[in-house]
Amino acid sequence: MIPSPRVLLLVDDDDAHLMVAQRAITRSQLGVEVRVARTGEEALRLLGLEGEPLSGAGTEPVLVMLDLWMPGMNGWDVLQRIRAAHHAVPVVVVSSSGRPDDVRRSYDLGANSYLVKRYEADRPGGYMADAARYWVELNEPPTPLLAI
Amino acid sequence: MAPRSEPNGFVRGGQPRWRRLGLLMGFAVLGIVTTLVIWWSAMNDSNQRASDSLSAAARQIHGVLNVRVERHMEALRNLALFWQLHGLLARPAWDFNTEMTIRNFSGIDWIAWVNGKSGTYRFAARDTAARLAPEIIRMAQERASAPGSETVLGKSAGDPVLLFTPVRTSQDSVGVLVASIVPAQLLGHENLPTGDIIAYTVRSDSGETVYGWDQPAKSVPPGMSVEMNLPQVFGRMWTVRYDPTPKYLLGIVSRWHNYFLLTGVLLSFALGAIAYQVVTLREYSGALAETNRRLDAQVRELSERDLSLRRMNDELEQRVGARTSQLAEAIKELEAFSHSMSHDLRSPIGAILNYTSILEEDCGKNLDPEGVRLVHRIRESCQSASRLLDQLVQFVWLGRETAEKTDVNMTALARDAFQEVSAAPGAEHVTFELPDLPAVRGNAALLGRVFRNLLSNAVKYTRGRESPRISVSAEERALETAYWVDDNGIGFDPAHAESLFEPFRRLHSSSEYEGVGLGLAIVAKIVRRHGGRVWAESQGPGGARFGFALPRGGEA
Repeated sequence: MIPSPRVLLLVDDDDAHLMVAQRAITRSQLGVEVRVARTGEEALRLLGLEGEPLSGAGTEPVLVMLDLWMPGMNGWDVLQRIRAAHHAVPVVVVSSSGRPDDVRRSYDLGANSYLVKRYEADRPGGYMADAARYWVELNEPPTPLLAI
Repeated sequence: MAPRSEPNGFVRGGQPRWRRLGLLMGFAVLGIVTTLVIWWSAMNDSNQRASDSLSAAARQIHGVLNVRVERHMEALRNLALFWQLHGLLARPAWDFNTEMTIRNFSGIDWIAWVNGKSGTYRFAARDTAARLAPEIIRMAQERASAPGSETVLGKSAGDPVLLFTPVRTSQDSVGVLVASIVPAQLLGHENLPTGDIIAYTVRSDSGETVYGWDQPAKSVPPGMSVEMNLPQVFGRMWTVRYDPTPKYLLGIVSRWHNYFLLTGVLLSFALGAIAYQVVTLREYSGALAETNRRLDAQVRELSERDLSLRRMNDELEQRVGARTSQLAEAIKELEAFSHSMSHDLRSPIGAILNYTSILEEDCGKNLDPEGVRLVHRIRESCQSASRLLDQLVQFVWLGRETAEKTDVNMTALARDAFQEVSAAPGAEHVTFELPDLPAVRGNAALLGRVFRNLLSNAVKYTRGRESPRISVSAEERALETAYWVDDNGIGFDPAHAESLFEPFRRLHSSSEYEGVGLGLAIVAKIVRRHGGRVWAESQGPGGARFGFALPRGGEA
C-alpha cells in the first residue's frame, strides 16, 4: 500500500523565513512534503479554492502555516476563505507581530494556533519544526494494522 | 427727592413722609371743618326753631296768666271801689259780696276789711276755720293812711301774698282792704300748656321770687329765654321769665347731631388716611414699575449672557471634540506606525538572521575564523535590533491595553520574576532576599513586568561583583504601599536619578551591559498607569535602590 503524499503548506512572502522553516521541517523528518506559497492568492489556488488550480492542487494538506502580513491578500483573508469552504485543516498563523489584537483576531477567524516569529541562533526555525510536528502527528491517520 | 435704592433693590421715591402726613392732616382738617360748619348751622337752625316754638308756647301761657292776674286785680279793685262809693254795706250783704268774690277767684284765699283807727275788722275766708291774725290787723292799721296800694310778699316763693289797699268808706272812717293771694293758685301751672318743656319764674320788681314752676335748664342757649310783664299788682310790677327745661333741650339737641359730628370726624380721618394710602400706593407702584423695568433689563441681559455663554460652550465643545478626534487620529497613526515598524523592520532583521543561519549552515565549512566571527557579529547586531523593536512595541502598547485589576500577590510575582531573570548566564550566584510583601490591587501581568525589569537590571549590574546580592522590601504607608529593589551593583550617578526613567536613556554603554534603555521607562509607565510613582536612589558605587509606590485601596 503506497501512502499518498502528505502535504504541509507554508504561506509567506519572506524568502529567508521560508528557507529556514522548510529546512527545519524537512530536517525533522515528519514524512510530509513541504509546499510553498508566496502570496495568499497562490495559497488559495494550491488549495483549489480559488482561481486556476495549480499542479498538485486539490491535495488536502495536513497543515497550513500562514503568515499574516503579505502583499495583496493577507493571512486573515486566506484564513477566512479556508474556513468559509468548510476546510477543517489545521492552520497555524505565524507572524512577526505579537500584538494581542492580531492574536485575538486570528483565533476569532479560526486559527488553531498562533506563533510569533523568532530567531533561535542555535536551532534556526526549530520552533516551526516543533509546531509542525505537533499538528502533523496529532492529525496522523490511524496506522493500518497490516502495515506493521 | 432723588430716588434711593434700598438694600433689596427696591426703589422708593416721590414725596417724603412729612408731605404725605401733611396730606393726611389736610384732608382730616378739611373734613372736620366741613363737618363742624354743617353741624353748627344745623344746630343753629334747630335752636332757632326750638326758640321760636318755645316763645310761642310762652306767649300762650303768658296770655292765660295775664288774664288771670288781670281779672283777680280787677275783682279786688272793684270791691274796694264799691265800698268807697257805697260804704261798707250791711254785714250780710258784705259777707255775701266778699264770699262770692272769693268763690269766683280761686287765687284769693281770704278778704278782710280793717278799720284804720279802731282796728275793728270784717273777715271772709275760703276756709271757714281761718281767723285774721292780729299781726295782719296791725299791718293794715299802719297802712290806713298810706297814699296807695301795697303788696307784701311772703317769706319765700309760693308763700301767700298780702295785698293792702286803703279805702275811705265814709267822711271820717278810713279802712284797709286786705286780701291774701295764694301764688300757686293764681300763677299755678295747672291747666297751662307747659307740657314739661317750659319752666317759668315770676319775680317782683323788687327782686323776690313770687312763684316758680319746674327746673329751668342750667345753661340755656342764647335767645331761648323770654321775659314778659304781667299787669300791675297793687303798685308792683311782676315779670315772668320763661326758660326751656333740660328735657326740652335734650329733645331739640338730638343724638343725630352727635352721631353726625362723630361720623364726620371719623370720616374725615378715614378720608385723610385713604388719601395717604393712595399717595403711598401710587409712589410704591411707581417705584415697583421702576424696579420691574430694571429687573426686566437685568433678566434680558442675563439671558443674553447665558446665550453667549452657551454659544461659547458649544464652540469649546466643538474645539475639544475636534482636538479629541485629532488626538485619536494621532494615536491611531502612532499605532499604525508602531505596527508597521514592528513588522516592516522586524521582517528584514529576521530575514538577515535567517540568511545568516543559512550561510553558516551551507558555507560554514568554507569560512575562515574571521568570516565566522563576522557572521556572529552580524547575528548579534540583528538580535540587539530585534530586542529594541520588541521593547519599543511593548512600550507603545502599554498605553493601549485595558488592564484588568485583581488583588495581586506581590511576593509570588517577585519570586517568579527573579526565577525568570536569574536563568540568564552569570546570575547563578546571586543572593536573593525576598520577605513577604503586602498585596496590592493592580494588573498582575504588568506588575510582573515591573519586577522583571527591575530585577533583570539588578542582575545585570551586579554581574561583576564578588557576592552579588539583590533584595526586595516593602512598606505599607497611609495612602500607598512602597516597594524597593536593592542591589549591590555598580550603582549610578545620583545626578541622573531623574532621567533614568526616560525612554532610551542609558548610563552605561551597551557593550558593557546589554539592553536597549527602555526597561525603566516601561517600569515608570506601568507604575504611573496604576496611579503610583517611581524613583531611584543611588547608593554611590555600593549599589542602587529602585523604589515604586502604588496607591492603596485599589484606586486608579
